[in-house]
Amino acid sequence: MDELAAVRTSQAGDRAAFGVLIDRYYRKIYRFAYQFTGSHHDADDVCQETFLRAFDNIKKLKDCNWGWIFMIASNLLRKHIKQTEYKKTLPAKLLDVASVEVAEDESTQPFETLSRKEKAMIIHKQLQTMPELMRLVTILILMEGLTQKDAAGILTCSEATVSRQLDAARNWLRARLQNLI
Amino acid sequence: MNINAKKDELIDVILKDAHSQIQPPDSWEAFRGRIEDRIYGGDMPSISITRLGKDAAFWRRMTLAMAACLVITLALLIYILGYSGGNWRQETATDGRGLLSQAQLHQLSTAFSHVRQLFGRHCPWMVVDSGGEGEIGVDNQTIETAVTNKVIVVRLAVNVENQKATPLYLDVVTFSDQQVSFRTPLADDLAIDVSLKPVLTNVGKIVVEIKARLDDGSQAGGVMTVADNVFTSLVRVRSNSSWVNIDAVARSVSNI
Repeated sequence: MDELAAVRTSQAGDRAAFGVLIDRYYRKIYRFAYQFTGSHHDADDVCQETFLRAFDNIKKLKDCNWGWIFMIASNLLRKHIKQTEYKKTLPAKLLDVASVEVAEDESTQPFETLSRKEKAMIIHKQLQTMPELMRLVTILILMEGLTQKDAAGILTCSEATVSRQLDAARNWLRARLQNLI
Repeated sequence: MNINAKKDELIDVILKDAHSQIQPPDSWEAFRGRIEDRIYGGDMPSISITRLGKDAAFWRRMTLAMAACLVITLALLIYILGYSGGNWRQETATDGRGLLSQAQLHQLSTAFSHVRQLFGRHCPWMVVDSGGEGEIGVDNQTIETAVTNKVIVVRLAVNVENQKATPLYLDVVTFSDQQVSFRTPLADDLAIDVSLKPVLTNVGKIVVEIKARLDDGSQAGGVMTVADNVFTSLVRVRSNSSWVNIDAVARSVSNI
């Protein structure tokens, strides 16, 4: 079942069709939420809430643009970030794995010599210090591979704004990771 | 390709790779199950959230209602305090007339406006006696007949003949054409039931229809036009060897 058919059938109340949509997007939304919040618990909660709201409101979806679910998620994340005081720490699991190595190697060791998990942790750590909108643009475009137009639609801002944020994000990442690449 | 473009390319690869490694602490399958549970069943957080919302709305309304009650109580308290310690008693004690002053009308109308807000579309009435006791009521049967843009204050002076005590004053605040029924004690072993209906006529006069009944069964009634500057005798009820007289002055309140 393609996405358009899944949306149409879901709008008619078919749970199985909505399951197709969940399967297609739940990993993306989880990663999106995790990269933004830096917490598996929060990502889990926001992702569930996102699909719940999508399910409750799918009949209102007119143009079958499933980027809508990213919009729900980004709105929830922005709301969530305002309501929560985040500890600017790395997720516990990653810290357990590689905190010692990173503390010693982050600034000196080239990226090539780090494990994938260590690289992921450093990237994630840097993302948490990024400004909110820049972080959203980075996740959606550089990580999820969305177009600037789609990202602008999801974030309800202009493409020009997204473009500026993307340029700023690239500069920001180059500066932060210059010793590692 | 310049050096920045090469760096960007490398960063893109690293970002995508880092992104792809993210997964829930348990497993994707377990997380997928939690989504299904959330939407379709299990602990049904969405529905519980909705119910919580309704509960919250209910408690918010309850809080507002309680706040309204508090405001009314405070208003009545302020009114009663002003009443019992202020000019009214002094005026009654010194000149013996006990007429409604403008300040008292204002106090009564303010208190009644709070009472009115509490009861919404229903028609409340309010009685406050000179001892500071207040009573609020609603007569649902009179919703159709009460003229809710005309509020009348009737001050009743109840006294038992051959007793030297000052009269008992009762201020009745109600809409025009609304029946008010209440009971008030006159002495340790004597109480009177009063039912009255004031009507503001087209020419601005206030006509009061009253029925009074004592505990021993004696009763009387009448309809009188009541003045605003002098007490008018409304009714006399026989009580054993003496008489209970009820006089009244009345004013309309337009700014409520």
